[in-house]
Amino acid sequence: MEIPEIYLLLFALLTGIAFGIFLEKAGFGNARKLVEQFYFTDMRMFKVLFSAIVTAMAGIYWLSYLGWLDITQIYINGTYIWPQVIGGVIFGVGFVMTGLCPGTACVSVFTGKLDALAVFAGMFAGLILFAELEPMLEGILSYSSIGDISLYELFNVEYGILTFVIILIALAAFWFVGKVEERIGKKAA
Amino acid sequence: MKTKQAYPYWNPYIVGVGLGILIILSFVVTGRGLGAIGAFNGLLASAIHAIAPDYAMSKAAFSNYLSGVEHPLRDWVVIEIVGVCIGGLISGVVSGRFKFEVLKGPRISNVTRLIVAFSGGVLMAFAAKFTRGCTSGLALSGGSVMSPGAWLFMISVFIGGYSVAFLMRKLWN
Amino acid sequence: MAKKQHNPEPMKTNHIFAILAILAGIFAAFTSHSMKNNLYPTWKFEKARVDGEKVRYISANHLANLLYQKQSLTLLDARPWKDYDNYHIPTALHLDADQKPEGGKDMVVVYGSAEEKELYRMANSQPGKVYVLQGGMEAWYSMVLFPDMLQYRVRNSDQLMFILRRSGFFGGEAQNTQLLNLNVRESRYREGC
Repeated sequence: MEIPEIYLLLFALLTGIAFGIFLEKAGFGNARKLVEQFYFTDMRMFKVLFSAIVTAMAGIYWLSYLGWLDITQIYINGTYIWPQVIGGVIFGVGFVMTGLCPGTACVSVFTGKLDALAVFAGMFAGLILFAELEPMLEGILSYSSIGDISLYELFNVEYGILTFVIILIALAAFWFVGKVEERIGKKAA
Repeated sequence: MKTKQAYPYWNPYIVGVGLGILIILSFVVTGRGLGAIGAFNGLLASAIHAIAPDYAMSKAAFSNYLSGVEHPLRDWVVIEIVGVCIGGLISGVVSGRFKFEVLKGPRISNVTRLIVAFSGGVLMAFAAKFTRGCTSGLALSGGSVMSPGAWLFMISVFIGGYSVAFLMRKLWN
Repeated sequence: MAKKQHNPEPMKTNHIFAILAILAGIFAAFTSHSMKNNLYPTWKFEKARVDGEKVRYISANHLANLLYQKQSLTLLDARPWKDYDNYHIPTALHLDADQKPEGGKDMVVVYGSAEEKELYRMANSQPGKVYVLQGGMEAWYSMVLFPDMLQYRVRNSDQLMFILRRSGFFGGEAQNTQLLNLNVRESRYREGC
């Protein structure tokens, strides 16, 4: 079924608005709140991130089981092992420096936080830097690509079983993280 | 003078489930998840193209974008990011959290904070292009479809963040 | 006992979420078997232990891509001569051929009907890393020569065209192209998100 472009864009706008509302309501418009994740006092980022992933994962599994979603037709991000590991570490460092990620920086700017404007400027500068350096990084960028593979193919397990396992791991992680919060919160209080 | 009291934050799990449902809807309707850094790149590429088209087309990162998209406002992620901004604004105003300020730790100055934020932004954008995604595009949407790269990225972000958090504690505490 | 950080209200919601999550997961695990997730894996290399010996596999898909892109590798056919003469993967040399494969290639791929470790040992005399074709000639037929487009994981029209072209390159023909839902959802620009 082909959806006309204007409806897709309208959907994009509504999705974005909801995304922005959710991010702001979770407190991610505030860099100090977000960065508390890395000081163990408020593990919100971990909770939001993983509960979103688990919900979406379970939902996608169920919709594809019911036949309402064709998992062969959806976009699966490619895996580039070394670029994503190294890039992830650099991203983490930048994250602690700024206290924001690209999406939450938008929310932060539009709730008046001026430091987020500096992050915006930095991001544009970083993109230009990347565009300049890209020819030199050609080799590294496409290094160790293993394609649009899914985790269950990688481990050679069944889709549903892996979903279940990840849900269990996530629940255990949430419990653990809650305990860490209580402990560190008590120490800090 | 009555100051407006900010509303408390929502339960993070509720936000998470809400985001998850949003991602599911996105996959069902459009076949792809959310994104953030792609929109930044697109807007930047279009802006540079308007000012200096030759420069824009000479850089692979921009020309790839410009040759695939007629107009940035017809790009899904760009419209989505505009929505994020609007949503943040609405929520911030309604919740009483809209305030012009510089958020920082008590031990550093505003200028330091702005400089560090700028540098951090450079690192993040650079890394996000490297990994072909940021937290919303790669970690959230990629994690939902079980892309190994998404999980690798997430683990690396946490490793990177936690390892320098102690060094940077002066920024925040 | 020290006062709890959260008031009781959010804890109830969290408990509900946790229970729902576990239920969803259990149902997922139970229905998992009927989900067809073994569509042609495009995973390139796989390692396995066959009777204690480490064997490296290469998928037929990846081998085809390498040959299509004219990457240099040594390809060895370990089947009986009759099968080799009947059909062999282009550029493959028979194991017992007089004309020895030229050295200097760091990748050796062997395929045949014998057991993996036999093939592995047979080919190990050649210099270079040895890979066994995963699935043998059958995989070559079904993934490369005559791919069933209903089973292939095609994400966009470029990929579809590539598979069709590659299949023709090796002298085969794709199957069920007329039934393929060509309404693939393409995003304009996929490099970033």
